Amino acid sequence: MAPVKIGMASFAHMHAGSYASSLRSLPGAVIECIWDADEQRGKQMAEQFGSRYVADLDEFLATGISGVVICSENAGHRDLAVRAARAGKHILCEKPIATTVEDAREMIDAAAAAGVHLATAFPCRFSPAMWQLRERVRAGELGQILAIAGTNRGTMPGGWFIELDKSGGGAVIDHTVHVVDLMRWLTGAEVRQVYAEISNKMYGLDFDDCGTLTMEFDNGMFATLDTSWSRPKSYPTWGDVTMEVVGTEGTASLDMFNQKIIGYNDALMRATYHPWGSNIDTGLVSAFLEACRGNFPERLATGYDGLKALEVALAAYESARSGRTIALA
Amino acid sequence: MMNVAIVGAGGMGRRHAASYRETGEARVAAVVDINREAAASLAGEDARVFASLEEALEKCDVDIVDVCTPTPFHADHAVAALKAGKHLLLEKPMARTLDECDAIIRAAEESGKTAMVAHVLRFFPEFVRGKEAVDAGLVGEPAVVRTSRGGGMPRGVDSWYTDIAQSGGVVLDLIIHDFDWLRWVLGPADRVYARGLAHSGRKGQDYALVTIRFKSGAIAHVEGTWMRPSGFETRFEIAGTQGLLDFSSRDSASLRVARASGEERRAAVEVPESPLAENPYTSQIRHFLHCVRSGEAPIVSLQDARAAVEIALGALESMKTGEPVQLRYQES
Repeated sequence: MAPVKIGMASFAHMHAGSYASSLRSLPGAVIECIWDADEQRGKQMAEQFGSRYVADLDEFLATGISGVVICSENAGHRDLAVRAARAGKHILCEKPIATTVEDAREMIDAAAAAGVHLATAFPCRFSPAMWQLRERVRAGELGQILAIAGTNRGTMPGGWFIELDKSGGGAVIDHTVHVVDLMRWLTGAEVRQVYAEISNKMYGLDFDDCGTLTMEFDNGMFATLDTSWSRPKSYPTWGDVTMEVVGTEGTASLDMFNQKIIGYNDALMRATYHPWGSNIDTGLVSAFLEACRGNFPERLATGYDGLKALEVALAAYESARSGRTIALA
Repeated sequence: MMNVAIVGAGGMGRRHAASYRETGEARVAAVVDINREAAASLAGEDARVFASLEEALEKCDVDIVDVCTPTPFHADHAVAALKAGKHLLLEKPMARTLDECDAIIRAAEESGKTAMVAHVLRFFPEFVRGKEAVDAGLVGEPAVVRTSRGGGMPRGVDSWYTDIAQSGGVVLDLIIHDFDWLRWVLGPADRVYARGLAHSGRKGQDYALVTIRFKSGAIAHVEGTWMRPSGFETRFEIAGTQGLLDFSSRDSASLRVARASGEERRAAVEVPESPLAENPYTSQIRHFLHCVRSGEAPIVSLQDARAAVEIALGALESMKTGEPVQLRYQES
């Protein structure tokens, strides 16, 4: 089987490096070319990943690639995705899928019109612990799921993540979508109502850095999610993804990145975690290659999944502005 | 040696009685319970047994009344004790309603006696260290805080815990501990939002997720559960502008005993424990006795206890209305 030719569109998001490493490690893929609005970064990445830099986007899309991995700033996703779709390329788009519902819909429509697959990069679906949790919940081990308390806490990333015109928001848009997607994927239920307490107390600047969402789902389940950039610089790791799942017959605690060795180093003067769990980005990228070959795997999140998660993040901002619970259609 | 009447001979009454004995500063002179057998078993040979507080106050000369009855009886017993001129230690939550809290506060003001609600977390060293570390500036300004508390469903007489109308469920009975501690650490609360199973009609199961916005701007998330089959556990995390505090009772247990059982000699259950030189309940009672003797104000004021009840009742109301509830009486 011939390897799938992939183009990487922008390395603005740090996950691009991990996706590129995963693509290189997989025999079924070739990073055919790299486009980046930042020429210096694009050339550097082309060198690092044994690919070639193409400065012009139309030229990039005309190189015979099957799929495009989009890791630009959030606000740039729409234009890149729509152009890639029109060029007949399958798309893996970094999360959040976009910064507005209208942009996300336009991307989904463009992909549908062109007959290409649009996938949202939700790598947490590829965590073996998450997979096993989902299998066991679906087998009824926990009974009916009544509530979930989730966290996706992290370190403040800086850069364009805190420039609101590029990111669409701070911690809440950055960290709502992963776990909302997991909650939807785990239960098959949709979010019906959102309430959020949001603040900028951590850094006191114009972006939100603390958020706690409360959601009600259409199956009656309720859930909360802590999206805060609350890990200090001295914290041993970047953050976490956790879920406390409460069912009528039992509970499950997921701590997705808890497979770690704890290291201590006198030069750093702090402890560090050394993860040894399976690489979820490799799972995600593999699934996207499958999609490029024409079989969209069930585990891969669609553009619609990306939209549903984005709606919750945007409703959280609206709730914090109004002080009310926001209903989702 | 001061004389104490324990009202309510359940688990907490027993715990308090043992703590009075451990201090060596007070003796249990009377035990009151409508269940005479339970009262007699707790009273042993030293204390007299009564079926009502009224009778005990009439026939027995006590200095202190310690109320450990189910929540709906708190106000009547507390007010009766204060009106009789006794010092009062009242198990948490202070009462089932804010009106009842107010009645207790009025009775305490009129009597001038020492009155304290047993928010025992203020004597748990892990929660005291957490507060001290925040006060010392370790995390800078607290911004986002999480706590978790719970295990299985508690057993009480006539299953009163499972009846939300009586106990207020996990919100009023259990995580009121965290509400008081959070106010101690973060100052007054502003509004509360909550979802939970309190109004779901599920007997014997309760779970709640409560978000509190504090006047300082800090956001706190409180998980309370009577649905944790893995056993009782408490956790807190305080993230601030300069750092973070992280605590889990499970991760910091200092002793784990696993007893082999069956032919395969596998551990049946492993129970994590954290033994202390002095039980926090005894530290609490030592503090209360000190306040009684010296006339000093207890570390937990009745207004503090009322403010914690207000948060809990606000959370229960939010679950009903689906909207945040503004808290009015939170100044400490």
